Amino acid sequence: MKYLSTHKQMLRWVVVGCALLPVTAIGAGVEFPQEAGGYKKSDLPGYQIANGLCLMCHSSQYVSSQPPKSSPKYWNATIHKMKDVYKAPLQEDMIPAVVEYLSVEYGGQDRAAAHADYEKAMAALKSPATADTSKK
Amino acid sequence: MQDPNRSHAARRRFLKSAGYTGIGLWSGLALSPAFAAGKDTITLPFGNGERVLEAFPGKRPLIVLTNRPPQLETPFSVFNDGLITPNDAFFVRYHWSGIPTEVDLKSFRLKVHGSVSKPLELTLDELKKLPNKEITAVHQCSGNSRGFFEPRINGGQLGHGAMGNAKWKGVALKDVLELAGVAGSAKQVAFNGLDHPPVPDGPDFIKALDIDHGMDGEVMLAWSMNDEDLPLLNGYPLRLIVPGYFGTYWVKHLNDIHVMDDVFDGFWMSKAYRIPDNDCHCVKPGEAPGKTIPIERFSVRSFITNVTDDARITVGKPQALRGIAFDGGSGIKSVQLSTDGGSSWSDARLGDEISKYSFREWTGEFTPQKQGEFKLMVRATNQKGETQPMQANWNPSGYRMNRIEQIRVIAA
Repeated sequence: MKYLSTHKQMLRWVVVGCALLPVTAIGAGVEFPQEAGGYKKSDLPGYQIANGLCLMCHSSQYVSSQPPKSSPKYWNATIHKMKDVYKAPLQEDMIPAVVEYLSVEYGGQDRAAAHADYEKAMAALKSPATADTSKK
Repeated sequence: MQDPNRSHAARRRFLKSAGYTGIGLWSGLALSPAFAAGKDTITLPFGNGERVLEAFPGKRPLIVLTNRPPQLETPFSVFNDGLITPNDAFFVRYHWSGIPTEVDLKSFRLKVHGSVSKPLELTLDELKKLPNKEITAVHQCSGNSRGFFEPRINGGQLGHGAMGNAKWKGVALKDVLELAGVAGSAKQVAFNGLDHPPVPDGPDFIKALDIDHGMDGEVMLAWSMNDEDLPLLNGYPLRLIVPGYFGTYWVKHLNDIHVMDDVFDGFWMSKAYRIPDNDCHCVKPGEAPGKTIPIERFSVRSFITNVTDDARITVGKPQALRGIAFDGGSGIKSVQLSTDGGSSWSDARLGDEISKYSFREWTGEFTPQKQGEFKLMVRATNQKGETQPMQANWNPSGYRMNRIEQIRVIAA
């Protein structure tokens, strides 16, 4: 049996090494047409994560074809689903940056508001004890 | 087919050179952001509806929703070419990018196991020796037409092209299950194919049917589509055919049938592909449903196929109209046309019924008596009396879209 995808073993390797594949490496010499472009270039750090980790499993059209103004809540829920359900090799502390990038570049969210959400999410990650206490 | 060894080797080489380097190194390597780069394009009539058309293996250029995994829509004009959707135009939908690019029939086996008295491992040739049967049936994605919901719903943003009608040839699942000897305790049958998640531990795409459904004699294992082998991207060498049911159950590259004493609780049954458990399978936009159930049969639908939006027609001259209708298997009872935006309706003529699961042709005529704009609408009613709503039945996953479609024409 021959397969199209990123090889499971290879992926484990990548997960362990935290190395990122650019789209060019995946598309090399393949008969299946590859998407042109990829994720929208951005100075936001989440771009690097999306362009590496997200692209390993699926093309960027999963994002670019979503309705305009898709909300930060949607991106946040979707990225968590990717990590928790679909087992994307994302670390929890990468998620706020990816949410910020997708919300700004694809959802049209205001940069300052997106960054404030990022700071808030990162702070919550850094002090889980505080969050736990507040629950009690 | 491609040589994945070559690409794996390329990747391996790449990874070796990439090593453990950090994120920043690759920022300069991204390709041009131009999504189309000289390719043919089409714009579906909703926001972010720009798509390229590309030819994948075994396919003519189709509307690309995603390249990896391939998700391809049939251009709508194909539905006016005939009631059977050609194999090379038939839509493609995968969940995971781990898809087979080649299947060796020498090593391919269909396993039947679980609550059976005689577990089986059948080659395709062995399977073909069972009594063969054929059915012409519509295959449609649960999310077909999702892009037209208002308010919009996230997920695969499909136009109307994630449907098709084909003649499937294979064997009844019932015959295979009887060969294996299903235990009286069996509750469900779960189906798995050769495609797999690209990451370890991702939920494999497995679907299940109740045992009574599996034994109804209609559910089929098909190797042939329109008298040819299944195209690779439509599930070569074998796929499940569940007439009248949404495509999510039509497992491709089928190689594993698990008869279970329990209700299968995998992600793709217990969490995904579920609809509100009420009559319309809908909720108020934005609301979360209470109880949900797995999606099942198609809702009734109809389309005008020979006239497109903004077509110019001539005052006083009869304009032929034609199109298709289908439902989840009760059969089409009537199709009606409106040329005044839904105020009045008249019966269209129905073509022969190829099968109660097939596209059914309808024809009609419209002679505009004055200049101006006309809204043409089509509405089908099935044998159960179910018809199409003017407004889509909104649900959080954007499934079962079957609103009355309308086309605006201009008479001059």
